[in-house]
Amino acid sequence: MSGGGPPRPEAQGPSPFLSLRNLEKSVSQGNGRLHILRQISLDIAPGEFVSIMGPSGAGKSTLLAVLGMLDGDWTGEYRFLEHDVHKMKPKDRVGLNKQHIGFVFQQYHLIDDLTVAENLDIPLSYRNVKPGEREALVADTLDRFGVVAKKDLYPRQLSGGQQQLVAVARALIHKPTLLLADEPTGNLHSSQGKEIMALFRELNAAGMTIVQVTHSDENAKYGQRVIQLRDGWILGAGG
Amino acid sequence: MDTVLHDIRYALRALRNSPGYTTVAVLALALGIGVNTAVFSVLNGVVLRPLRYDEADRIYGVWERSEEGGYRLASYPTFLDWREQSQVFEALAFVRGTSSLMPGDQGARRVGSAFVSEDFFEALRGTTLLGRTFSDDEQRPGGPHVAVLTHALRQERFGGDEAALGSAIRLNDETYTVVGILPPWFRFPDWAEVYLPLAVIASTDRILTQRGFHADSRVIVKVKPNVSVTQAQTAMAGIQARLAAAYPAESRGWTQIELVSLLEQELRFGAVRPMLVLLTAAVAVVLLLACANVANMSLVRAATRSREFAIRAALGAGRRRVARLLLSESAVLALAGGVLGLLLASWGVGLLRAAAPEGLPRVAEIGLDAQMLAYAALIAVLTTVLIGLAPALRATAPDLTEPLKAGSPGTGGARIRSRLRSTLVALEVALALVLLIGTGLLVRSLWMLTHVDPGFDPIRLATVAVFPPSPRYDAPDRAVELYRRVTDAIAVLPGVEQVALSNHLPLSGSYLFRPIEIPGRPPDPEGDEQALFRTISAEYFDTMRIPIRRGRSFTPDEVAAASHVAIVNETLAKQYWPDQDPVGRFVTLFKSSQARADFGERFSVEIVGVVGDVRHTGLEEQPAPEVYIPYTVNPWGWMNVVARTAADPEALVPLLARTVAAVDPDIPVAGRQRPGAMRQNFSGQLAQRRFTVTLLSGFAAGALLLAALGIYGVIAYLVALRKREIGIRAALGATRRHITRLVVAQSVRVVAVGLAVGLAAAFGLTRLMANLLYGVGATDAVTFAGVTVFLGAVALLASWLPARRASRVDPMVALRNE
Repeated sequence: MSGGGPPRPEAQGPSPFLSLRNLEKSVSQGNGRLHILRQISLDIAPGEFVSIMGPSGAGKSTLLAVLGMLDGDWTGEYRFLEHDVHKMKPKDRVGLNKQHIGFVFQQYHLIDDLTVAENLDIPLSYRNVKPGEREALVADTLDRFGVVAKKDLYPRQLSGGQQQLVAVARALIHKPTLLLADEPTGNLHSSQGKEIMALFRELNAAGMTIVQVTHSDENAKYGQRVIQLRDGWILGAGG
Repeated sequence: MDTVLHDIRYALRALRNSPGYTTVAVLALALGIGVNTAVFSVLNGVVLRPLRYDEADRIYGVWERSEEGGYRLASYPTFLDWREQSQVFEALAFVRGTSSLMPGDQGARRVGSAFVSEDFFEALRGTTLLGRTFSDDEQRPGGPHVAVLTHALRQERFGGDEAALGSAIRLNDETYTVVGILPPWFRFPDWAEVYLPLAVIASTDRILTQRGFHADSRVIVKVKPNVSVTQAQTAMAGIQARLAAAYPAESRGWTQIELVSLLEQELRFGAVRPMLVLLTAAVAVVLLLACANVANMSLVRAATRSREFAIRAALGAGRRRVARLLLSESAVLALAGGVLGLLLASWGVGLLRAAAPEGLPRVAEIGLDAQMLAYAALIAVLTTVLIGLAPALRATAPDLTEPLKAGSPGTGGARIRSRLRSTLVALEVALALVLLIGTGLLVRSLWMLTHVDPGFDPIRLATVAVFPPSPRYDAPDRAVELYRRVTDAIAVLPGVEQVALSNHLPLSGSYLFRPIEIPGRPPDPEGDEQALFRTISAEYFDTMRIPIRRGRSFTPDEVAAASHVAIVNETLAKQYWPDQDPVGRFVTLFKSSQARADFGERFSVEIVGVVGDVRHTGLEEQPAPEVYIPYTVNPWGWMNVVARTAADPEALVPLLARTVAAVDPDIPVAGRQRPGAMRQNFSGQLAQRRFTVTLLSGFAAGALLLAALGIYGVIAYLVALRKREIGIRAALGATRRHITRLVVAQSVRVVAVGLAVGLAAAFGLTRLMANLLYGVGATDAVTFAGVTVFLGAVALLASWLPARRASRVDPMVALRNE
């Protein structure tokens, strides 16, 4: 579809996991405003694996941040599960983010001064999880992702692929319903990248909703739908 | 050499490119170097620099010492015995101090006059500024009347005119020819304004015949070159023992002699030194804090330039070159700070001289000179090393190539650097705490002193001294008559409620201890029973609001009739009659006015009352035994009038001067004899302490500011370094409160370490200032706890500001900021 058209009718079948209507984001620049996202309307169904693609500066990462509720400075409507995000206070949005969303970044963004196990513990420490439970969850996750032997190592002692694996584990440890990934394989060798993408497919198969930003057509194939962004507009969607 | 110049050129350019950093660093250093140089110049001028007399290290003041450890001035007969019997001195001189009436254009004023014996100018040999000292002829009885003036009196009397030499001045109705002017630094004894040969009064001054009179004199000696102080003291102790045996009434127990260096004597036996040393230590702390701050800022700069240094290293620069580059920058900063600091110091020295309390000796000698320039240069070099060393070492660390590696973003790579910075901040907190606690203790001491009960009510009291012009009032009854007329005239002034007379006023610095004997009580084997000798009018206790504890005050009739009655204070009563009522008992006193022919004559008085204690000799001193008699019994050579007023006593001051002048225009009411409010005695008492506390508080505030800036800077820097980590945490669910807590927790650790170290240091160091404290212990828990909590709170506030900023970090911006 092309941007600027009338709002898309509600998707058929189960009610969408999240939906955006006429979402706009701009920042002031000089005398005018720079538009980053233009009239974005979008539905994502539960259990979908969507890839956002487009050239640099198209607004991909911004859209991801909006979806992840890290960016609240926009206009339009955003409905997430049963919540009208556009009506929520920033504090409540943080609560929603904490409950439902996990992030994976291109640069892994592990904290260098914390061990693998401590990095995994960070999301739990911000979610009022009891210490005993936290320990158990960290141990489970280490086990599930096959990094038990590396739990006391620091990020710099791991390969890029291993670091991203830990980052994915960290994004999932609090059992989010939506995984957002910003070029998760951008810094990895192709074989390491394939491993991460295989992991994503596995998670998706198990029911996790995933939205990834990627430059790679090959990676986009792991998902079911591609959203093309250019200059802030959605150009078209494919399967 | 070329490379050094190149480094300096580069340093100048690099500093020009960071105007903010350069300005703050230069200002901080200028402040540190400036106050240090200024305060050190005071310490140097007052304490460290030797006196300017020739061979000043051999000049000493001589004090008699009792077996109990007391000090007293020598009487003239004792001095004559010393001169006759001692062999260890090259010169031995006696000074008899009085004040003389000098007429002038603005009315008469009293000048401090020193009648000096033959060897005086021989002992204190220096350069006479103009003219000469006394010739042998002039030092013989009946010789011509000549005078040597201090520089200050010459300025006052002749406006600096050289024609002063050969001019005549009038003192107490006698004419003296000025034969010499002394240099500005010549200042001994400190009250002397004019020097006259002792021969002028040798035959007429009865005091000079009194072996038992130990006031208003000085003895100075110049020890022979090959004689040590100990040898001289031993030799003199032999003479003293003989004198004690020969004159038991006057000298029993006074068997020792102490030679006190002239400098030490000027410093009032060391009372001034610890204050100045304390101030010097305080400004050293300020300088260290300034250095720690600039070093911290330099570390940040070096950190942001790590890539530049790595490129330099990759292009072949050795570690030493990189270190030299950074040290060049520090040197340029320190030089600029030093030059600006010197300007600041020269201004500060002027300010210190103007604000110096009256009692601070050698103020005229405080100034910036070559020595001060050298001192400023020395601390500038020290500063260079202190601020440049850490960044230079960091910049030359082995992992120099790390910043060149592509894609090594790292969220905690700055941990080691930040550890060094954190250590510096902990040090700043510790230094500031020590300084704040020291200041806090002195502030509390001052507070305690201002709240000491002096034993009388000083508010709304005005005073004026009445010096009867000679010879019209030389006869005692004429003087008494004059005092009565002055009192009567003041009593009817509007706003005056009560008027009284007294020879000495509390806290004025004037007092006289005189022997007291209790009939039937064996004399003290030490021969040391003395009490403050006070002559007063009947209204004195009422006017001063001194409570009567037993018996009664004098009646006006008793005073008019010069009845032999006395009132003692509680301390004296307790000392002699611990469990009995002294009223009705008799004591023997000795006539004590030096102006009178009956000086030393014994007389008996009946005690009619006991009054409350008054802190006469000083607020910090315990009350001394005191005995009051009617002023008519032993009419003093001068008298203080004290008037209680209905309103502000200051308003009465000009009226007092006019009233006294109306009674007799020749009574001096200018200069030191200007009337004043009693409150001034209080301020005078505390002036030096207030001066120290004011300066110290200023330095402590500066230290607090520097420490707070240091903490703020470090935490802000750490926040900047951790921006991405904070963004990640926010993306992973951290709330603002989580982030604020994370950042503040980091500073809490640093500040806690600093406070712990500071407390430990303060415990050790404040003991050294125990003798400067009053009414508060050197480890006073309230001060320690209060100041620690206060500094901790300031430190938390300083870290909360950047923490709050950190909590507002936009996670997306942080995550993209590679």
